[in-house]
Amino acid sequence: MSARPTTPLLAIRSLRAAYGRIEALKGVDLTINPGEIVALIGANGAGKSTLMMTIFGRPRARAGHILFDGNDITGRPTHEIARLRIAQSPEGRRIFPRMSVAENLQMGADATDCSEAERAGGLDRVFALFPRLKERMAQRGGTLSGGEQQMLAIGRALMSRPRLLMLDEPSLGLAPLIARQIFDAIRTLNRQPDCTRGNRRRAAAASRNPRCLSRGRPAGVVFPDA
Amino acid sequence: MDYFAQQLINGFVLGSIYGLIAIGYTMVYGIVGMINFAHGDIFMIGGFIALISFLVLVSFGLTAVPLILLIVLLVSMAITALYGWTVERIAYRPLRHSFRLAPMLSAIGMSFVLSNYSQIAQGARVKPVPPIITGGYTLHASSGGFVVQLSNVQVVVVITTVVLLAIFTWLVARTRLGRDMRACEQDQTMAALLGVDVDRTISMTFVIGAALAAVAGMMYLLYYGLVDFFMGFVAGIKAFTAAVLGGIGSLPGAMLGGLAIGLIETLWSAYFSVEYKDVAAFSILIVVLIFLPTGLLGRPEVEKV
Repeated sequence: MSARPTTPLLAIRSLRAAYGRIEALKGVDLTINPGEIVALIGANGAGKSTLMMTIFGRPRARAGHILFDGNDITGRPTHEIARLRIAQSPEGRRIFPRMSVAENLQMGADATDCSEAERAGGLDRVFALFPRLKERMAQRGGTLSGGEQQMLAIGRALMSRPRLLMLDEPSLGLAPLIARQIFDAIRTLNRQPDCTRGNRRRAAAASRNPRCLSRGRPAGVVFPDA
Repeated sequence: MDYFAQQLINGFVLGSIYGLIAIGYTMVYGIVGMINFAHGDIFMIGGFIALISFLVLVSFGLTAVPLILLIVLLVSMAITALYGWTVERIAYRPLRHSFRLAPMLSAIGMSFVLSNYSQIAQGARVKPVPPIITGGYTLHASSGGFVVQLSNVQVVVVITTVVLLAIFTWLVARTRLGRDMRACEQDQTMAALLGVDVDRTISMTFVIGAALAAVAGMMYLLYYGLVDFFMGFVAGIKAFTAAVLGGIGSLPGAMLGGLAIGLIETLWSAYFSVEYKDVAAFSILIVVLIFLPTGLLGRPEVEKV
């Protein structure tokens, strides 16, 4: 424990969310401090993606609180939450298929009102992580390979200069080599506060602090076996 | 040959008007997945506002025709856009998360509301205006006595359409609003995750669609010299046909479909029968729906993910 108490970047308190009658989150607590990399792991259907989407208000929380930087953001509109510089590379990547790579990245930059210099700096940073994207700038998002789309999804999230970056299954469906590139990139990013999940062993290794979800409830701390 | 050339000119001008209306259908379909059946009546409202603002300007003693046209254009675009915004706000947005047919039924209701409102407020009679733009050019006079003419009104209609389409294309392709609109069309949830205010973007789509319909309404008034409360119905359905023919959801498709419907209708009237011109246009709709459901420039439903 550090001597100086800091406001957690993200504090989730007994959060509940549901899709219709199916309750997906049954009282989740999670604290993420600035500068921390957190891996969220759990079985299929444990509620990992739902938790990330509920932070953005989709679905809305039924009960509990989400505090970002000490402010209660529970119930605020999704686009306002995004403008607080919380970014997500969501499940399924959700690239805009009929926009060019450049436009997809610009959508990320548009999420926060940034200056031209900040935008250029953001692009440089994304290209440093994923040089492949630079060659693909004019290509349509929908024509990229799966790995390239994943890079673009992460790059787009980074363009908003996030204070909290959430990556949902960053290695899903990728060739092992590409998955490694992506996890290397996440480690390079650790100047940023990250919340990440994915390949259990790798994610746990990248994080000093993995949290486990089981059927919508926290299930204690899991220690990496790698 | 001269007769055919003349019909091509006429069809092109009519097609420009249909195309401007069709863009509103296709944009709204792309972004919220509904057919806005009140859009034809928005076009009619645009025609009326053009007429009213024209009469007001003339009563103020304004005589410079280009200035009058410009003011009428801007005023009718602005006020009609407000109508488009209001219709979305009161009739569609509350039903956004309802069952799929609900906003469409609401749109049909809104169409009746707008046309009946105009009938009560402006009367049921056809409102004529004297020709505002006169004169023209003789392009070719054959020995047979038939003269190919291009009237100044036609020139104004086509130039206005081209200029507005250029502005509109630039807006969609290059500006932040256009990017947000395309993002909402492709993935509303992701757009929201990137800070796009989806409700506001949808409102803007209705505003822009209504403004273009207002231009079409004003062009109709200039070209035919009349408006009436019922003109939105047939013109709206024709423009809808144009949007389907071009591929619903495709902006260039809407313009192309508009031109195609304008040409088909005009050529049919010229060579077969004027009475059956609507039959010709709507037969196209049926044929397209059967044999080419995605239209000329539409994309198939399946996307590579």
